[in-house]
Amino acid sequence: MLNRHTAPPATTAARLHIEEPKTIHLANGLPVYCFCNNSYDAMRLDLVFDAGTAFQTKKLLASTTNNMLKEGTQKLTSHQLASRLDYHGAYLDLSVNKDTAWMTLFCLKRNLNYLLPLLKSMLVEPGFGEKDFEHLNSKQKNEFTVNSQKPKHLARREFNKRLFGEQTPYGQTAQLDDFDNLDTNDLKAFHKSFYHHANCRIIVSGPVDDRMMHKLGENFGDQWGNPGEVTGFDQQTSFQAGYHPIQRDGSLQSAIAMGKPMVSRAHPDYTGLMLLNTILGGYFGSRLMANIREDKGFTYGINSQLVSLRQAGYLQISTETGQQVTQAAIAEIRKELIRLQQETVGPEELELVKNYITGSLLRSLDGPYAQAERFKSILGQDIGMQYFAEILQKIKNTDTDQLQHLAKQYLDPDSMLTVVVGEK
Amino acid sequence: MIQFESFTLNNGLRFYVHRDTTTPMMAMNILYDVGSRDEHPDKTGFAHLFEHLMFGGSINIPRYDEPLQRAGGENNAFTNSDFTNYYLTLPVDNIETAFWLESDRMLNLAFSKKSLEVQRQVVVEEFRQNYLNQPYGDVWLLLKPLAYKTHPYQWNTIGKEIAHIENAVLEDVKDFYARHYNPNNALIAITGNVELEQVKALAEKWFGPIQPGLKPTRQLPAEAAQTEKRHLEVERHVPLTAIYKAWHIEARNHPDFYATDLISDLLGSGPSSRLHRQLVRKQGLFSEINAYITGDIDPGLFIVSGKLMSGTDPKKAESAIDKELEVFKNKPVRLQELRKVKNKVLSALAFSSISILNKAMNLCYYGYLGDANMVNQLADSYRAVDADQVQAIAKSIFNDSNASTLYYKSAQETTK
Repeated sequence: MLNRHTAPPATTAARLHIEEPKTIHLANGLPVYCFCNNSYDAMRLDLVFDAGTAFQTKKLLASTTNNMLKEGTQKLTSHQLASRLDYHGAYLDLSVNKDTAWMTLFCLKRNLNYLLPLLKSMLVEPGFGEKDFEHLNSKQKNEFTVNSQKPKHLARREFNKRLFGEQTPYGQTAQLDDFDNLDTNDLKAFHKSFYHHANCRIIVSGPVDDRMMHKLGENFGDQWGNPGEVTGFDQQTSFQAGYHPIQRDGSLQSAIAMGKPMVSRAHPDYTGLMLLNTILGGYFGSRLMANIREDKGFTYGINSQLVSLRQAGYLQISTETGQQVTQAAIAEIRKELIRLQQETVGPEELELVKNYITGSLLRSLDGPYAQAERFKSILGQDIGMQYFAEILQKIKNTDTDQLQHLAKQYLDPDSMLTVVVGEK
Repeated sequence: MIQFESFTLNNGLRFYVHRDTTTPMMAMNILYDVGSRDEHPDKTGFAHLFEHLMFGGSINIPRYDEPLQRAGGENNAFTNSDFTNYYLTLPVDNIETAFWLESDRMLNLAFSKKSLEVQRQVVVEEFRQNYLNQPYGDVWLLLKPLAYKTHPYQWNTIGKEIAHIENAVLEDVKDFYARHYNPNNALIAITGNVELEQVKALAEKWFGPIQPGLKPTRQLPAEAAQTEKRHLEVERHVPLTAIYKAWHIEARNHPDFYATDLISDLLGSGPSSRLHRQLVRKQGLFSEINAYITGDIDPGLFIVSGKLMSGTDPKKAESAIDKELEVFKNKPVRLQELRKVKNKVLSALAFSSISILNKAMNLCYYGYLGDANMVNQLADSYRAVDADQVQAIAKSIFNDSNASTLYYKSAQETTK
């Protein structure tokens, strides 16, 4: 008789086996990290710069400079560049976060020879044409305007400002007027300072061979750009806890962003906090989801994130709830935070979350492109891929008393900032 | 190339198995042949609401998510107008956990009142979050009933209105399950470092004993040919006026599909495309513009959508779109331009055949269309498209009598 009641035995990986990328340095010292894997036809190439928003002296400068790299070079118009990229099957992602800026290329192996010099040209001789800039800027401004009507975006912006301090590198938050304060001279200056070989790291993944490495050296191994010293930034966080509602008339839902500054990766408490955060709101079965979505039906989704930047860390709980249940939802979030402080997490739940995290890490490191993505997130922090194996071990070794201790120390709801965007 | 094997159990459940030795994970994808097109016009939103209920516990297993998480797994699902799709990934060593969980919820659900009450609320919040409380959120709630007058595609998967979801009762839900959630109404794909015999044995053990149901025959009212241009204007609290145009196209399995898909790329996918170049950059009428097809299984839609630059008259903007389409219809596309969009597609296809989850989804999807091996023929299908075909199809699609247009006007602009 088939027993459908009992779960079949399941195992959890005891440890993660992960290899460091193969590292070489080009003639100019530029490091190239390879996740070589011949099972695939497709390549991924990441060019990463320490050129995130924290480095900018004017708002929107970092992201606009980065986005403009795709809007033509000194040799090709915006249209010509776009056509050539498309013709050679290139998928290009240009983006920034607070610490870094990157250009990520996906293409077939056979197209890389053509695309490498094109990418190089985009990086060293971008067009920064006036018309192209006007077009991009107005597009971004329009997107900003639309986003300004989305409760989630408004909540996030306000949260970011108050979490770090509006005048700080991490806390600076763009407003509509800022789009009118940019010009191409600003972009050229930022580009000159930050987009050069001494401020660049390359990650290449997929079927990388010697010929390809040679081509990379040919294109990116010279003294490209203007290698002066990159001006760093100093994040001096200015945080105040408190409750901040923002009116948005006619809102059917409220967006809530709640959290506080936290320690970052280097701190000994960090791995325990990763585990604690997962229990709180880091997976579908979390305390917040189980209560606020699955039990109360207040929301389509609620989660908590623990984020580690280069110079700071933070916790952010986010959700969009029905208008009429906003305060009730906040009360439940507070309840869950307090619960973690007052009760220890039971052995079954703890084991479940540890197993889930193991699976999740395995999944996020599956294959060369996923590994490249993970590696990109730890660049410039003096850690390698072994870091992921190590944190898994530490998480597995964290016990329930340690978790409660961390909750008491870090999760007091009254120590948090709460931003609510919705009908008053 | 996705090498795979297939087999069917006595109860009609179809399996596809693809071996991938490069990963420690495996994926299981289950496609049920029921979508929002199968709903009653007074009880819409059911297929999607039901998808939520599938996670509320099955007859022998009170909670679906926990045992999966314990086994290091993750899962999700989606519903569209044509079918409902569930998927999970987990370390391949725990393959039996996947079979245990999925077979039990195919066998029978727990059907608790509480689960229905909560998920009703959750779906109502989803409706609000994605369709009502966002700028441009309700576009599809307006566009679909404009383009479709008889076919069930006229309503969205989320439902025609919140009330339909709020009024759903347990009896309706049980009935829906009994009709559609049967082994002979489903396809399953397993990808990962697995052996065919191993999968067969597990399939027989866990899914074999499940009785087939009466396979529902699908007899949907066909959409009558549109004979006149349709037009709708609404005003909303959004910063920019937007235009949406829809034309009827052939079904997914029609030979025209691949050419039609490439037409949407030629016209409106990214900065090198025609509409972007002409209407955004050169004429400065639009802030952004895109073209795409809905990809529905029954005859779907070709969409052009764009946001206007502030102060632009929507009539002028629509005229400009029509003019570009006339150019497209009257002059065969150049070889290089066609090759460009093909190369982009080929690149995308190569990337989509990497992840075990994508492969599992594709095997089910193409199996559902009639032949799982279609997934290996896609590249050739796109390569085979020629300029004459493109021109002929463009001429048949882009006519006023086939068009539905929505002006989504900015109330803020109007008051300026």
